[in-house]
Amino acid sequence: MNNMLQGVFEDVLVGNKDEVENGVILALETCIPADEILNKSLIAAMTEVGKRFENGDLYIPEMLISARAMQAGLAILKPHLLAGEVTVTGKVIIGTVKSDLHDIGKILVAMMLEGVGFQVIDLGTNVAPEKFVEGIQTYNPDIVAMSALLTTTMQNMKATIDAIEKANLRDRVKIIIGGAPVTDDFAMQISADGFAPDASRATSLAKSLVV
Amino acid sequence: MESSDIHFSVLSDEQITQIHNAALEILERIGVEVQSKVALEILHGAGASISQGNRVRMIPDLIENALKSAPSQVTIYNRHGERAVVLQGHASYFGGWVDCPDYLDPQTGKRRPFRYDDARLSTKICDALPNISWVNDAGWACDYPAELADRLIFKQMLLNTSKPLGCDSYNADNLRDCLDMAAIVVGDHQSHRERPIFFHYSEPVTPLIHTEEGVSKLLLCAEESIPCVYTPMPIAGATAPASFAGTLALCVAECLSGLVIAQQHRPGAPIIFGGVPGIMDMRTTIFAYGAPESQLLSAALSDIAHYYNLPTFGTAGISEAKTVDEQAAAECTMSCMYSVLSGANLIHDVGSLDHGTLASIEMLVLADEIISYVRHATRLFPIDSESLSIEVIEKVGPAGNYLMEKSTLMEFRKWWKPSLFDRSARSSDADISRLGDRVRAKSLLLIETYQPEPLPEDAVKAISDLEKKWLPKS
Repeated sequence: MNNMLQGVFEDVLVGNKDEVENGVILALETCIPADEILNKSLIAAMTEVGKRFENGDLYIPEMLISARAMQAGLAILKPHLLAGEVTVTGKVIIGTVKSDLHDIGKILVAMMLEGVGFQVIDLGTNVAPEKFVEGIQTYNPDIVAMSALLTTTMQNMKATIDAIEKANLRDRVKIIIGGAPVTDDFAMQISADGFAPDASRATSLAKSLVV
Repeated sequence: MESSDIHFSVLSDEQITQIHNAALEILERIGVEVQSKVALEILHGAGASISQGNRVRMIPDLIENALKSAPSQVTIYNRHGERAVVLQGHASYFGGWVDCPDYLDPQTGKRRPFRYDDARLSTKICDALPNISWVNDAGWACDYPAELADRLIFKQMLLNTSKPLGCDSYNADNLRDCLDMAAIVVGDHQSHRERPIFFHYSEPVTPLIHTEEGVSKLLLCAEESIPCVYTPMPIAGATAPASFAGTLALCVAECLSGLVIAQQHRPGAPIIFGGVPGIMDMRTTIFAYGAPESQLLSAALSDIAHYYNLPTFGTAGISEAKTVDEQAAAECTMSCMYSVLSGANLIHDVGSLDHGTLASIEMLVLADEIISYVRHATRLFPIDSESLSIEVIEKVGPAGNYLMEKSTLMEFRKWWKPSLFDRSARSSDADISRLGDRVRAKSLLLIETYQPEPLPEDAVKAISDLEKKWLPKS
């Protein structure tokens, strides 16, 4: 690989955001095609990050920092990429359900989804069913992801799915759920399309739903 | 009284002072977000500064006054009006899990969603186990909506144990219904204010948020003299700083600001301090209850509570293991030992597996044995002229034995008698049984044979009449 691209690759691996930005700018200035920078340094680096995480050589905070650095590089590349070259894995709207203010898990999932190329719109916490419906209408996502920490607020996942059905939008999206008290059985009970017990598996689940 | 004689401290007074000062600085300079309008009015009236609508900053005086008026002893009574759980000093009382979505069925060995009847059964088992001092609220059942399950399960708890209870209600209105049920059991509301049979659990949201719902329950508890645990679950590295001094400073700031709200609303309201601090496992992202760091943080928080002379909430008997295996036993033992040695008062979550998502009766039964062991291992023996036994040593002399001495006959009965741990002299391969099998057998036996003391008929009827108010019309 070209030295410059190798440099960006390494900087994504260690999560050095500033160096990634500088490296991408420099690579563009030396006329390396934008899609080559994207695929050979940014995406390749995140794939390597994913592998190292699976092997237990990298941990969550390191993966998030790499994802943040990658996103910073991508932001600089975007205007230079042709429409078809930006291979966004998919689009996700994500939120913590109504009456629930807990968001650390949701934040983790959102960052990891971005790290593998999803475009993620974070609706925040305490998101009412109507807001999820609006989110589908506004952003046209592939996936709606819901989080809840409390057994009491989990019920609002069902209320949200019901609202989406009522708005005739259910067939347009895949719905995935997660959160400490959420289980596979609960997901089946409320007819969600999937459940993941942690952010890493949420990412794999999301990827499997968009192919 | 369930005090151990042997304690340890993680923190020196000077270190606690540093954390205390850091908490004061957080509250004075950074502030907390208070989403409850009622609490904002209370705090405004108390002189706290409010900016951006709901960012509240408090000067140290407000905290000092709250610490002065908060009681150092909080007592929770059993159904008979006896002082069953006296939270003060280093006295430790263990209770069960709360809100587990799944249940490990001891009959099938399989995991399934937690059902309403599992709450009845587990209350019964907690009632049976001598080292479980109070019964916690299962609070969730897959076969009922959450806004009903809390009260239905609370009713089952009242019916199936006479021990004190922990309550975790859906909202303040439901808490009122639970209080009404408890008042029936003890006679009336005034009697319950004087001798409460349950405490309530509510939380701020880390970092630095007091929610409308959490605060509304805290305020109701203060009004009705219901002992209230209002404490956070800071996750080091995720919702709180990864440096443990910072984790604790943040936790203390959230706790103290909650204490101010409660004490301003009603000085002397019985509040339990503390929290459930722990780490996020940075590979799997779960909250690691069983981690050594989580034990250390909890013990440090107990030290801080003792410094404030406030009763404290603790956590033990819970594991990340998915079944009652060696990991479950190890994590159970470590957490129970740490809790008793550090003098945590109201210790919860006994019997939980899989980072608090799996309720297990077998884990409760195992923990009961382990708690008993821990209590014996932390009880100091007397050292005085009689116990030094010089006369006995002289009498027995060289090469004698002590088997039939009066002191032996008196003393050996105080030693720990295992009911599940194997102390047999030797076994052939054919005789070997595993602890897990004996735990399961005891669990099944208790399920089949144990009958809790029933509630008087008139109380049962009155509670059923009350229940009609909130049950859906079928």
